[in-house]
Amino acid sequence: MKNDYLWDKTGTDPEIERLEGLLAEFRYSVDPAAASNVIEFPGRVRSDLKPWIFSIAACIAVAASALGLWSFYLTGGDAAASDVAQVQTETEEVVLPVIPLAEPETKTKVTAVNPRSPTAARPQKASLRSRSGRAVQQRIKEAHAPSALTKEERFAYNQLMLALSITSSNLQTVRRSIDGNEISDTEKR
Amino acid sequence: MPDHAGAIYLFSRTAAAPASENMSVEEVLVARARSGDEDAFNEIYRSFAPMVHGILLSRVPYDDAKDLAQEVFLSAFKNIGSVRDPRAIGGWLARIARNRAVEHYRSAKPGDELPAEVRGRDERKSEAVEVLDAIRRLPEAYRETLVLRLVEGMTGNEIADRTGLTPESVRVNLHRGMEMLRKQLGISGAGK
Repeated sequence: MKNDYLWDKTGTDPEIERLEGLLAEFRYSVDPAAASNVIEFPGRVRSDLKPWIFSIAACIAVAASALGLWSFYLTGGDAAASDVAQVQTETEEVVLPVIPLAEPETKTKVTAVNPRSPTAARPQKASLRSRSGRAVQQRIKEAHAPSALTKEERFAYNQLMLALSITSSNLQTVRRSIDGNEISDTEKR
Repeated sequence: MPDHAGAIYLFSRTAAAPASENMSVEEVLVARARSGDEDAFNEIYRSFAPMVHGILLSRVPYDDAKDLAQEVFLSAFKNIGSVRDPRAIGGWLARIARNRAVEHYRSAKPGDELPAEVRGRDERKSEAVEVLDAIRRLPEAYRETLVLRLVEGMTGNEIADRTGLTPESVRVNLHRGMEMLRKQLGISGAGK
């Protein structure tokens, strides 16, 4: 039975048992107090914190993106009164010099004074011209709308870029902290 | 079951990690450890630390074996992604331990074998050191197996499970190693 004891401790073998008793002091032992953390991983981010870090970073990114989008829609839709007034003022300033509508109206007036001409129609023509003039004016306004929208678009674009840069910097910060922990582990090795 | 306080033996299937139908306990733990789960790796540590310690003890002084075991597992944790077969995690850890022991041996001072805590102690302690030194003088395959059996208290099957050796190889190593040890110690083998 001696071989069996050496193999699987069945039976007895006084000689081997004595050697086991002598060598027991060299046996590996785990400190029960440290059983929950037998390996010290210095400088590592705890694994249970990693999901929280990424969650916080993701929330910041989403909030920044939402802020940018909100600003975009705000300027493109229900703009503040001051912003609208400013835009309208700018629009009028852009449009007014271009409108060549005074001449037709003048001509209309001149033609309306002549009694021999079919003045009944003239005033109508004059009114038609003024109506067409307003239509032209409207078209010119619309034509110049891109210049106003460009400013809005520029503003929204800047907001979006700001949100994206915030998101990017936050993600870089998280990555740097993780890489920094790995590098410190490697150096300590 | 060897009497290691706080140790959880993976292959007794009493480990806390549940195994799925297609994955063994070792595969589950290795997969979790690869994803950065330190608790999973601590469980691997508790299961394989006696083996790693025993392999180191068969090569390096007693005072250094425990610290080197920590280094082996820290290195293993960093390189856990390189394990090809999670079921062979024990053999992988054993190789790391042997390599680490070789590195330490190259940098160790010659003759620094006697543990400080047993130097000058009673005769029993000196005899223990003498037996351990005698085991260390055996061929590599025998001394590792004998240390795991006589020092760490592992059975033949447990040694085979953890180191990746076949039970037959372990049995041969134990038997032949014990014969050589008896000759070195002058033990007659009266128990036969």
